[in-house]
Amino acid sequence: MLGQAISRKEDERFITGAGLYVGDVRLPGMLHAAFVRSAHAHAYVRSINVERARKVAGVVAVITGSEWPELSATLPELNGSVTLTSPYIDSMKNVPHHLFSKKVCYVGEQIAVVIAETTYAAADGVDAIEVEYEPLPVVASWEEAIKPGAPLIHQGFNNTVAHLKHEVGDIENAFRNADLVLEKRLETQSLKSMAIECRAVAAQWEQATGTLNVWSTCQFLYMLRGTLAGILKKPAESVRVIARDIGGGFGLKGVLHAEDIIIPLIAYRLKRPVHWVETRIEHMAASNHSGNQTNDVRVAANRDGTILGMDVKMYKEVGAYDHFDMMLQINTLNHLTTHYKIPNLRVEGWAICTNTPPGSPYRGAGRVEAVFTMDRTLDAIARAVGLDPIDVRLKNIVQPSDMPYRNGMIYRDGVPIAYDAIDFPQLLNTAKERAEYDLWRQHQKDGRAVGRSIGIGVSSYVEAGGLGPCEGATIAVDDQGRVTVKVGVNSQGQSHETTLAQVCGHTLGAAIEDVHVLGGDTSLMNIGFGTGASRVAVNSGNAVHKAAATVRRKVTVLAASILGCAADEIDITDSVVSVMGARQNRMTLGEVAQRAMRDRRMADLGGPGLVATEFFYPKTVTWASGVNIAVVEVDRKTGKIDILKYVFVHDCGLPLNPMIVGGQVSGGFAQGLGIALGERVVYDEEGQVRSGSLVDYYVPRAIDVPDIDVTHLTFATPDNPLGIKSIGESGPNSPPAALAAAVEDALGGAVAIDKLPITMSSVLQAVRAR
Amino acid sequence: MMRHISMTVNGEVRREQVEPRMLLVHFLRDVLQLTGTHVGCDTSHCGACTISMDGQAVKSCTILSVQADGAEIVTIEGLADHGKLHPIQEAFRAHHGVQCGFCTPGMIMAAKQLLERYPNPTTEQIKNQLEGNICRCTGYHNIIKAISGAAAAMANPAQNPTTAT
Repeated sequence: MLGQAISRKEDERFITGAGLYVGDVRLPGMLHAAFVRSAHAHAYVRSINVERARKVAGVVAVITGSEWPELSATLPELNGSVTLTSPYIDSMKNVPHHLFSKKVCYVGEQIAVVIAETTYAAADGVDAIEVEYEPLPVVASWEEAIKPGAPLIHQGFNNTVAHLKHEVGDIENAFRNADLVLEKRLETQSLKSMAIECRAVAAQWEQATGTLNVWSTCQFLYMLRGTLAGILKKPAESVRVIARDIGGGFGLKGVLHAEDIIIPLIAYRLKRPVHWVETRIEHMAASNHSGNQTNDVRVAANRDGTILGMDVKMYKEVGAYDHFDMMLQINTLNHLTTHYKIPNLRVEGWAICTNTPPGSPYRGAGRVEAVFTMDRTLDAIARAVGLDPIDVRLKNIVQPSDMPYRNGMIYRDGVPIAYDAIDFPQLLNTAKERAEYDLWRQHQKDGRAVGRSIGIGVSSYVEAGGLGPCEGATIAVDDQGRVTVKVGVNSQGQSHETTLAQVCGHTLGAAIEDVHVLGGDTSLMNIGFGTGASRVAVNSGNAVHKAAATVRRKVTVLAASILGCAADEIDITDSVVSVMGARQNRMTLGEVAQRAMRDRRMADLGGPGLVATEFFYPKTVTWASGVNIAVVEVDRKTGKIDILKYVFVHDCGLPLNPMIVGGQVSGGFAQGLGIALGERVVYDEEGQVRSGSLVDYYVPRAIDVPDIDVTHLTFATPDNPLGIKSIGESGPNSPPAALAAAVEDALGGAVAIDKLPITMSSVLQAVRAR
Repeated sequence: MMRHISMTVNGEVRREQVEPRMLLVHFLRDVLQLTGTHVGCDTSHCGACTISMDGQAVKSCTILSVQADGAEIVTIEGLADHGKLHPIQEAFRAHHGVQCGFCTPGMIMAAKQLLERYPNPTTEQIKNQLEGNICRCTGYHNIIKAISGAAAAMANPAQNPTTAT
């Protein structure tokens, strides 16, 4: 069962339209909210005229932030799965982010809320509100924000809100001794997660139980619960956050946005349920973006292609409010060396505010930036010394004999990074074979003779996953033999109801159809750390394994006593408990559960019933990895990039369900393709969003996504009982670097492709520049 | 000023009063409580709201409910036949064509029209016909396999295990 490609248990409701997303919540007497949002990127709000809106038919209330004291609250300073200990950051100053501010700092920032009987009436109310602004100078890019004398976004705060530095080895010595020194500027664009479901909140004050029920699209439901309970000065248990079916997350929903807090507070005060569903236009303008990042690289190398050292400066746009300390840059730093030995390294980074929405992670979360920087640097060295890109990689690659290999970095959990039991050359060689690399080099040569521009690109990534601190699971078997698995995380499409059921069924011996996984509801588990950072399979998977093992011990001991055999003679398969070899002596799991309720023997087994709660604490993160090779042909007349072949070789440890792993690779690849070829959040110099719809922001369609040749290698990890690693953020890491390298190669290497996305117009510019 | 409209939705005649400006997708979701049809973009780009109207795949966020007066509508909730899943639904599960599930109802309704036009579609035809439906999770590979699989199952229902009752 574990490791098998079984179909998903959650699919029945999705394919019949019976999923229950936050937008589908219907409550008696429910009101609807719509937001008045800033038209300016930086301005004082001088007045809000709500008189006309209050008279609109169906409008119940207009809220501008001064109505109740709790509306003066701020968002949590740091959000989600942030850095636990940071040896790198040497200065950080967080700006308080108010639910309602007298000074707006980005286009789309909330100014007022209209509450009405219907969504249409709420929209009418918004239209009837007049806001008077006093515009202020706008700083819409990090480059502008760090200029001397740049307008300050927050009075009393520098536009640069945090700084980090880290050094490994002796970088100055590396540059003194190098045969050559190359410099590159690598620019990665700001992105939106672009889940097809926008954000949504529904909230209801349940008078009968004194509970504030909140349905949210949030990936971090316990953070939302804690924040609301804190603002309302109530115990955490009086707020119940439910986040069951979520239509994609990818990081953007791993953040508390102001609406997540404002809507429940209004429902609490009005004593009526309130519903808010974000429109796509609101999403494009006001929801978080990932922020532009520029890495300036100096690399020291020898003529044989060996890297002696790298000196990297990282500039990261964090938007108007920084809720993630320097997490994304730290991820870039910790993933920067990928499969290669960089004996001497110096990195310095700056987190810079701009008049754009707050920044937050997008799938990959700094890893794309790391891989793009490392691979583009390796390709530059290969070109400078006249080596094939694969040869320069083999020159610097971490060999199995180097394991455990420490690259001198310290992960966000405070543990020094160590790669172990990974065969990087095998990943590279497998990719080379799958890609028929030498054959395509010949095709490239032959093609050039007849005017065809074929190019090949290689990229390698690592993916730290399974970040702690821990996750828990409670498993209970009822007298019908139904096995309930409760976890403290929710799903945005990751297939937890299937993979975690496979783990439970495997360890306990229950039939998969008897196992039901429940998550995404703070009333199920009291503690959870959220779905993000590719952490659920490792943390929750192993917690489920441990809890199932505990339940299995209870079943075994009790059943052995009832059936009159030794505990090690008990077999549990397909929910049937039997004495090995003796066909007659058997009970169902349900029968054992029934006995376990009142049997005194359970006094020594932890109490009545077949139930157990266990937590899994990982030692540190696991390291998944992979190599991608792209073969492209560039049309010199149009700049169009045609992907002729794409190879994706990866390791994610033992797969819980290979079909689901395959789905994660396909989907992640397509997102990486989007990053490579067109996705980009664009603000003009006034901070107005130019990528305001799904026409202006490119998202790959079916016709854009080529077939990919995927090879799964398995380097199981000894670091957790299941031997698993993460897969969630593997997909997008390498396509941008592999495709940039392939396009650059197709154009003969005359123009470096160092900026994402690689649009048709940028290819044409490169063609003309030659 | 309300308007009376009447339409057949999933085989049932529904008569309601609506504001003339109400979009069909809001009528389905908020008046009839058929929340399987989703809204992903409000601007007819994502296709999550795709339904069948008089046999045509239509983005229900792009037309007014009064324009559907008298029409025959099928939504994702009406696709299964007395509890027996449609072969397209079965194929989306069998080929792991679903991750978060949000685009799925629109994808399946688009696939239904696709297979009416091209009962034996090539991969290229499937990709082209899905131009109006965005999936952010799956990378489309398994959606394409599902639609090919559904085509095979519909052409030869006896032989395909995914349609076994």
